[in-house]
Amino acid sequence: MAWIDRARDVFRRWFRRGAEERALKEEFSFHLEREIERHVAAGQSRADAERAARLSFGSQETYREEVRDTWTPLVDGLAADLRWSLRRLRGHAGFTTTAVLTLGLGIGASTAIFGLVRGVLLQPLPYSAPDRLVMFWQRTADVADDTWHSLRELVEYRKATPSLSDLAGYTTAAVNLAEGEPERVRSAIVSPNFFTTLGVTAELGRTFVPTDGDDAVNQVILSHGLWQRQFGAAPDVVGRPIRIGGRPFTVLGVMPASFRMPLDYREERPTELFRLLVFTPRDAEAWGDRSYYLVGRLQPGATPGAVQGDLDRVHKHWVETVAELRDDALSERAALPLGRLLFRDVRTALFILLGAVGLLLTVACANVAHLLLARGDARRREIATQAVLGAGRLRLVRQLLVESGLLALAGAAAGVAMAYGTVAAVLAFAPVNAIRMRSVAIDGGVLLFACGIALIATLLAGLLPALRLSRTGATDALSGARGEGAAVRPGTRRFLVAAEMALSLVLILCASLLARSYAELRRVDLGFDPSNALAVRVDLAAADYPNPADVIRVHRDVVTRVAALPGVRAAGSVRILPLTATIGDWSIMLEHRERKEGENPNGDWQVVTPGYFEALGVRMARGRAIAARDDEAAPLVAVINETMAARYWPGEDALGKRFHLGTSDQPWIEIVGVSRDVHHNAVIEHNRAEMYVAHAQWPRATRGSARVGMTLVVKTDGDPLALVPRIREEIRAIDRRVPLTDVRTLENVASAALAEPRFTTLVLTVFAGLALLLAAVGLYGVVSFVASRRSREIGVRIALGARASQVRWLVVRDGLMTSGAGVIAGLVVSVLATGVVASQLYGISRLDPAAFAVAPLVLLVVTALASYLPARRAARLNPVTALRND
Amino acid sequence: MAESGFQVPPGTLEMLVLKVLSREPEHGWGIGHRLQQLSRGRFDVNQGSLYPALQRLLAKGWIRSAWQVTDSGRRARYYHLTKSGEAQLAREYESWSRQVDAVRWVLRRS
Repeated sequence: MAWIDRARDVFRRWFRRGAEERALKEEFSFHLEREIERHVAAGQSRADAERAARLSFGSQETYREEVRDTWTPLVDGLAADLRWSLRRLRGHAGFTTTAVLTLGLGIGASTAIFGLVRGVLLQPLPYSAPDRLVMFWQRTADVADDTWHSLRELVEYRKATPSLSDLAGYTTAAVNLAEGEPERVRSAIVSPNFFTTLGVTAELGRTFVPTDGDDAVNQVILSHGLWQRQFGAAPDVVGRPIRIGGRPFTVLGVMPASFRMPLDYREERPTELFRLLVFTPRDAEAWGDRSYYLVGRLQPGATPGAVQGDLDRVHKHWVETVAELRDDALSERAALPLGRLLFRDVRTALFILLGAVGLLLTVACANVAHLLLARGDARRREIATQAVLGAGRLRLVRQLLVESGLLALAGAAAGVAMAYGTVAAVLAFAPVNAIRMRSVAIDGGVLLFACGIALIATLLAGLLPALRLSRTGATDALSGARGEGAAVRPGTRRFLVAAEMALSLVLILCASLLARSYAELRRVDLGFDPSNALAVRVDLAAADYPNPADVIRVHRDVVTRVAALPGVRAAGSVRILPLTATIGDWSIMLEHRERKEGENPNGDWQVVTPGYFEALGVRMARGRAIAARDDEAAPLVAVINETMAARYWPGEDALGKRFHLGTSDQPWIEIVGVSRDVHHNAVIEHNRAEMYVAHAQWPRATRGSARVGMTLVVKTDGDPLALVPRIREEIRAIDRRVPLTDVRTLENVASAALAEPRFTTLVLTVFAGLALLLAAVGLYGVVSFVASRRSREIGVRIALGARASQVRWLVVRDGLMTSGAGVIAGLVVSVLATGVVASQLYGISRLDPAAFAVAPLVLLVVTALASYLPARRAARLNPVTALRND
Repeated sequence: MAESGFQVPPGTLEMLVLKVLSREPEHGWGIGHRLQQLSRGRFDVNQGSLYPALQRLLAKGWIRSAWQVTDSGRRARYYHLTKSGEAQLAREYESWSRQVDAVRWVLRRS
């Protein structure tokens, strides 16, 4: 077991150095003693013996040094390398700062993006075993496009999906809180098994449990945030009364701060109140009354595929046996793993950014490698000397890697600081809800990642220069030649710069594709005019207004009083503001039309007051808008959009045609206008059939209650936000209890709908710009280097009469050749790489000619600029000095 | 030392130290002394080579060291051969003998 002995020896010596030193000293003095004794025994005097012994023994210090050299050479040498590298880095502050900042940029950006990816995609959802949860959703719809189910379907699904251990349903509603200042909050009405299905428990009190029934319908669970805001985080909140929508409730529990409803991740604000959904078998009779989201938990051992099998089976059965469902696109419904559904869109964007940041990091490393090489040229003599004196190649490589490692470490420290700032900025300024709603933070895992990146950066930046320099032929370097003979060929450095240019080109191309696509998105005609317009939510508490006539009167008063304000051009209210939430469709019956097989006429239903179309700036294609005369007593009228007119009355004039809501016996509604299509669910959507019914007539049209919650849209002459105080006063004058919430301009609404593409585009553009900057610095370096190496040749040319412009061109051409090679390589790579962003593009091809023409041009212009400085310097060369300088 | 001796031939010091220690454990001074004796006074061991050589042998695990009290009652560091040291000595002896034979054959021919 020689190696064990040896390892123990090395180990012991390293850690017991002090003892070892003392032992050595004692051993030497013993040796000296014996030597003296020997001389004395040979008949010398004590003094002579001592002198002779010392003479023959020599300098103790030297021996000790030599003995020490045999100790743990690897570790000891490393410490020396460290000290040595630190000293060198301190001595070259300019170089060190540049390298550390460059690496810090790459590491910081990578760390920040990784922090986002980790926080948003890798961090588990706040449920127990979240990967066992599925949500029933349209297979192809994105998460913003709601998929609702009826209570009947919930009940039937429970029976027909053995691969689910639990299936819960919930719906959402906004409610008014009447504690202190009136406040409107998002609330959810959840089935009793909802919290147990998700596997979450309350922070205080309790959640609902499957055995809860009618006795718990007046109980409510608060979010952590609401508990803090409304109850000052009172520990004894459980059992206290709270008025919601004018009705009394009792607090049953408080959810932990981390809890979110699944779909909260797409919303601006989280759900803050949870009430119990209790229904009787009668409530669950209708198949088509769809307003519930369904969340299920997989049986142990079951897969989402098994649930899908259950779904497909039961859907087939329903289509065959249930008349109402015959025409529904049930086969589109899928059981999607929760995380996949919720972060489907943002995932692609984040992975694109992760890829982009990888490129940026590579460029940064190439640049530092470049700096190290450039400095290495200056150190060739020194390294050659070391090699001659016996330093092995491994030793030289290690020494150079230690230096780049130190740089990377400092870069990582700078990078982590940058990452903190970046993540904070993203959370503050990027209104991407899916990111904002997740607790993104730079934690231990992210820091570990930063260290890993630093290690990779060390190797990327340091290995190439280290290998190159350690190969330096000692004789070449030492043979005194100062000129071209001894210098490293610029090939390696040219290659690095060309690679940087190629990677930058890929980034610039992707960024410009996204920017072009974003511009296209901005150009999309939304069907309404968001300029100079304001939206505020006006919600009456249902309990305060039991009488529909009062609801209608208040909303009418609000609209007329606000419309009369100076500076207001038009005002009108609507059930759901475009681009803020989906509407949902409602089956309709068309007059003089039998329900045909495979046809299920329906439309997204809006409820509007007079003035709405004018305020939103929706033009009428035919007929008229909803007007003041369409009141409670007047004949029922509706406006439909062009898509609906074309779908149900193709080739006919829809004006004067009649339909009614629902499939049972409701009163007929006459179409008096056809409006232009409004993009309601998203900026990009398939046009959907939409119908607008007068708010005053809604209770008659549905034989139901009046809409208490409406969004008031105000078109103004000047700055719409300036009018908010006046509007608030007017509404207060009508009813003090009405909260004014969700105040925003329509510009903001339209802009928020594009938050995600804007975020991706912006970040990618910044990365592309940084990469280009680094590449330009690298190019500047290599062109200067080559120009200075050719100074003699240039001197000869000038002496022979070359004009300054010719000399400049000589140098600039060198830069253009180098980055030209990079551009060509980059274009080839881009043809493939743009496939990654293709899914994010709207309205342009991934091979968009404009982007492919502009990006290389940008690169070449930057190249010319970066080469011009060394070119100008070369042109000013004094030929006499240049020629003498040998 | 009055009589001028030879330096130990390059590369043989470690082998010779092992040989000395194969007889009995010895301290640094003793090893030098024994080498001189055994070479009939021809080898003059330089302490500057001896102690680093001992450290190298320790590092390779061919010898071990321990503090012991000498006959005269003083503490001294004694070195002794390990099993792998014995094997190493045998290997080196073998290879050295071949070299010496080879050198002798060449010299005899010419």
